[in-house]
Amino acid sequence: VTCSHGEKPAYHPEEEMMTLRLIESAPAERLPQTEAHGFPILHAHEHSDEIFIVDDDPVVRGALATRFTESGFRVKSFKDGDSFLALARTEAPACLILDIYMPGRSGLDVLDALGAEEYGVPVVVLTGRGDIQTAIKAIRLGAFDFIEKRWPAEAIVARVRQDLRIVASSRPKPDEAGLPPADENIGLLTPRERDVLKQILAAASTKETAITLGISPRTVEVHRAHILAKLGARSVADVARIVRRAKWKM
Amino acid sequence: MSALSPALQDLVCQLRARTLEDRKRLLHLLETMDGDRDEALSQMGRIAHRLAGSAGTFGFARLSDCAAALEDFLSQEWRGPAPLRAQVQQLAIAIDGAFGV
Repeated sequence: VTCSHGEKPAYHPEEEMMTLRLIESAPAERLPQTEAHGFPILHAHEHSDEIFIVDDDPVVRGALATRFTESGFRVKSFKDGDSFLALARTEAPACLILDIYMPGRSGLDVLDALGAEEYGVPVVVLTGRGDIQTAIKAIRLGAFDFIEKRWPAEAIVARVRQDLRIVASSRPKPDEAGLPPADENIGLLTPRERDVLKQILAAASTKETAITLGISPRTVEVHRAHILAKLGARSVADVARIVRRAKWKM
Repeated sequence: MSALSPALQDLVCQLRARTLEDRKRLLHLLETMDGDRDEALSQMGRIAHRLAGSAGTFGFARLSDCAAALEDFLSQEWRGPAPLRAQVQQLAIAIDGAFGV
């Protein structure tokens, strides 16, 4: 690094790994059936490689974003909780990395506003040194894991990879057709989402669905995104196959 | 040690510039804290907290440890100016060591 002539930044993930970890249960076991805190339930897609980073410090945010990008992830960064929450209503990453100590809305406030236990996306919080009390509060608010913010960026990437493997292994296994189990996932849909699903299966356009149901096209799109996420579908064609296999009666 | 990409090198330079400003600010607060000690200590605590996290993220382990030690010190009961001065000076030395000042 040309601007430094002293201590070189070194990355030694093993040296600073905390031994204490609070993973009480995998998020898939805690998925709710209803919306909470006004936020739609979005589930991280099994194949998503996108990471959301919320940190008020531009240098740390930049370092994490760069390291995750260099490790093959797609990254969206947010300077505060509000800008993240605005997008959280419609997009679900594979993992959310959330700083706890931020001016204004803190990470704990964000977890609370999000209804993190219902969010369906693993949230990894960045805490201060030895701040176990805050870490426990975060876990109780639905965080999946916590990391000391002083960890090198490479170690944080490694830990998040590990968390994503845990989450993936806790998901229901695809059946022989390569599709997720249908019955239980359809059961996650709200009545309004079922209405939209019927329109999807009837090949109605977004505009037609909006007129039929008396809602805006934008709302239809949001419901459509939720349906795909909840069913673990990658396309409307997937949705149709999943529903057909479940012999769902419209 | 991993080689740093150009993007990370640029960020390290930003960290260096900011940390050198923090160093100046800490020493200034140390010298002028008689006016409003609580506010000065609060500002020092915020600087130490941010530096502990940012230095650690970039792998400056020793610098991060010193900043965290100052943060811990400031979170405890006031023990007088001399121990505080020693903590700040330790951190200043760590900053100099990290960034070759």
